[in-house]
Amino acid sequence: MVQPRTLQIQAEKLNCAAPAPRDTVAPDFLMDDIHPQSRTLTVRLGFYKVGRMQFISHLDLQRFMKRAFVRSGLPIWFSEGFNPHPKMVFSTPLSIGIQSLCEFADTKMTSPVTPAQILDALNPCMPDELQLFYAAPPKMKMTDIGFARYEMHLHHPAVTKETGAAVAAELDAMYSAPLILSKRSKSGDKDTDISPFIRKTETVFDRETGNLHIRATLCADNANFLNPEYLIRAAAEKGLVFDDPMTAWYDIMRTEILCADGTTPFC
Amino acid sequence: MNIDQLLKSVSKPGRYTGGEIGQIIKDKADVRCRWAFCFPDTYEIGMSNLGIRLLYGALNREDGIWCERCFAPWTDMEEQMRRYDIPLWALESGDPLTAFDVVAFTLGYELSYSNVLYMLDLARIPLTHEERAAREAAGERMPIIIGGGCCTYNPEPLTDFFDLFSIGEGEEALPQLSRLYMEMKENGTYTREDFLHEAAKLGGFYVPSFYTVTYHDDGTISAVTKKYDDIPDRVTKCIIKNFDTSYFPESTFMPFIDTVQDRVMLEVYRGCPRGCRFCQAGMVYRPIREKSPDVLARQAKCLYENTGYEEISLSSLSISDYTRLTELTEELLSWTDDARVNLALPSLRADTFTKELMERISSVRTSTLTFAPEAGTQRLRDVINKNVTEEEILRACNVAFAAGKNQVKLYFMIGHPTETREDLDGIYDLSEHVVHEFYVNKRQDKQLGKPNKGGVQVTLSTAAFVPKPFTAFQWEKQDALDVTMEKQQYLRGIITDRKVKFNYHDAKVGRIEGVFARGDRKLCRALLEAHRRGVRFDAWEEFFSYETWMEIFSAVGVDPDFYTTRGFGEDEILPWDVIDCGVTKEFLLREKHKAYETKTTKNCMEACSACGADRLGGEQTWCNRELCKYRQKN
Repeated sequence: MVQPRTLQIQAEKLNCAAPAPRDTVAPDFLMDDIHPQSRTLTVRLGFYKVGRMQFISHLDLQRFMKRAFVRSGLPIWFSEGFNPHPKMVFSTPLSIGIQSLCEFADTKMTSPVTPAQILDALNPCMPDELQLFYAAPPKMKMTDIGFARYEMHLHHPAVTKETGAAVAAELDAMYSAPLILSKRSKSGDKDTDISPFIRKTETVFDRETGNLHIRATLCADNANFLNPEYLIRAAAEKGLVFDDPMTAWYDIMRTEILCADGTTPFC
Repeated sequence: MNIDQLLKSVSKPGRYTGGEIGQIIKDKADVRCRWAFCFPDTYEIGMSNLGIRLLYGALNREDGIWCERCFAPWTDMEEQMRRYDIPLWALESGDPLTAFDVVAFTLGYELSYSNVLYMLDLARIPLTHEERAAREAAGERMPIIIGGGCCTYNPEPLTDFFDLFSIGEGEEALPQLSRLYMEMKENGTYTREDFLHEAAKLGGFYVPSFYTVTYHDDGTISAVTKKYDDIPDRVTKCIIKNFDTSYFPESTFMPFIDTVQDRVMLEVYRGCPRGCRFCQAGMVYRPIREKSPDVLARQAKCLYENTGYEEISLSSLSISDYTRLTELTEELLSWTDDARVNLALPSLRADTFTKELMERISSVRTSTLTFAPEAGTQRLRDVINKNVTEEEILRACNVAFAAGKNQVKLYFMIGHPTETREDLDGIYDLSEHVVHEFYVNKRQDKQLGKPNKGGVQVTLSTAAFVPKPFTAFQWEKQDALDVTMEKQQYLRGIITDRKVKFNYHDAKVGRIEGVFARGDRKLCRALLEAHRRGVRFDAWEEFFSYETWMEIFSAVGVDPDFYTTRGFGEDEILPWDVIDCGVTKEFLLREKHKAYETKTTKNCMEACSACGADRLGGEQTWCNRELCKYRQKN
């Protein structure tokens, strides 16, 4: 259970907690793992997507990864339709502008490969800010996902040494009470109480940096998914508006994906 | 300033981040000549440009040179940059353009000219060469602004803004120019003037400030005088002599975000043997130079392995004219199918489109095939020297229909010289014949018990003809706006079959394009005024305003008719006479006269028409006897 060094470095750089170590040194994949009918092997990849890569959309990421697979020379499986392409299933949506240290995607291989082979072949084909830290046969189903943990840093002129602690407490109180926001859904925008989607928040004022530091655990299952941007939007009610990048900014990091029990790391 | 926060507020932030796989980062300590390669349109369009990929590679493989990329920021980013005082930067280093030695622009479309000024302004680089020279003389650091690309065959409307134009192919010329720059910087002989003077002497570089143009009272050119005796009267374009051994990037930058052309682009040959009389590309890229199939196959494999693209596009002006296409496609198909790589063959000609070729590209997913008859009657096709017959078009469509396609796109131009009502009627008649061909084909299929292929759709796209420099039609009158619009309406009126879909381009765009295509130095004023009025992204429908351009022309005293509906006299000094693209004026004039006699000219494969481009040299051309022998053998 060793966390890859690159992931540690990224977490330190982003000033947030690294995801819980997964069983990264999985045993070599065996032919037994290959599905008897489809003759394919499903592999779950764990990767981080930080820095500049936060601006690459989901669709663009899919296209990029597909080409990285081809460059890597790994025995990637192609769908057998009219338009053959590798298939990738991503765990949870990640909006543009949100970084993540903990992303998962499933794909298929046509012959046995070891996790080390996958990491060694694929990582050199990807930028430093998008790197795999995990590869193994899936232990859980994507539908087992229940929550995602986020860390956010907010820098705002209204947050000072004098006001910081009070603003932090105000935000926490707001996040734990009913909170009506216009939320986008399939049937259009509608006013929704987002508090049921917030499992926990913990907001502190970091005296050293002068930033607010929010740790939040939010619903991330298929039916109830809360985009962490809503917490930032709600902060506008407390005077924290981010419309001037000269003086005010925030970053959001997804640091963990958890199962429905809210504690077990997904993998 | 928090740049990430800024990026969160603009559309498609992936346009501005850089960091793509394949981008080149160099240590500034080792770099003595920094290039910012600018494309005057958005990232998605610029990243699709093969020229930028080629030149980026050709410059960066040289020691001491670092070439970076820069694209026109979209207007939401412009707003942010102006609000927060952020100068335009290059993607690789993030450094502002003022930190560069050379700022280069690719000029591929007349309507992108306003974006050149837009980008210079965002970069806070003085717009005119005069002001840059003055500021450098006063001790300020000033990049050299250089232009290249197909629009520089008539660079005159841009002469106030550029220090230098690179005429022709830049793969070898631009590194040579950089070496001159580094040498002069190092041995202390560099001054802006002396550098430009030396560059002008190299050949292939046009320094507009060294040429003075004077005009007659009627606005036509009376004389062009040179500042130095030792610079050429006419600047002859540079060409790559041997296309097999010339540089070709076997790896390239891979955009993260979706771009227009996101595939392997394999340039099979340069030039075109056809000699259509309206076509600029067919003239200015002569002489034709082919690459050998084995070289192409190796480069394709390499590019595929280095990129992972799922499609290889064989690009050239008319791919089915490549003499060794069978060899090449066989070589490629030996591995592309297994690798699930798709072969794309754009620019197919109807007369050389065969069943065999169709089968080779049957993996093409789209159900549409595109042909360009360009004109509706045989008479007019002979005038424009298209050399395609109706039988050939119908046969080609038949091949496509037999292979199960049921959509055909036909490209036409309206407004060709000598065009009559009959020619417009011919456009619709031809489309109807294609529809008929489909149903004949369908009936045969039915008798053979093949599956029903449904209905047919023929899309008829018409562009308005814009006369371009270095074509047989460079002297022609362009249709007036109301004439073009009337012709479009006429066509729309006669097309009653719902299986024929009619599209046409905005005639107003064609008119502005026409002004700048054959424009002279007087248009610099108009561009400057347009910039002052905030004109940019003219190539985008949502920003293009014909009315604004008309106001600008009248404000600066420029008559757009002078460049369009007037036509140019055969003995007139043309603004682009200062450029020599290989093809001679005598040849073009001969072609013009033949057009009016409805006489065609054979293509280069059948006979030499003595266009003059062969004097530029070049190997593996159709001008080359050895290859002719090769062709006879096969």
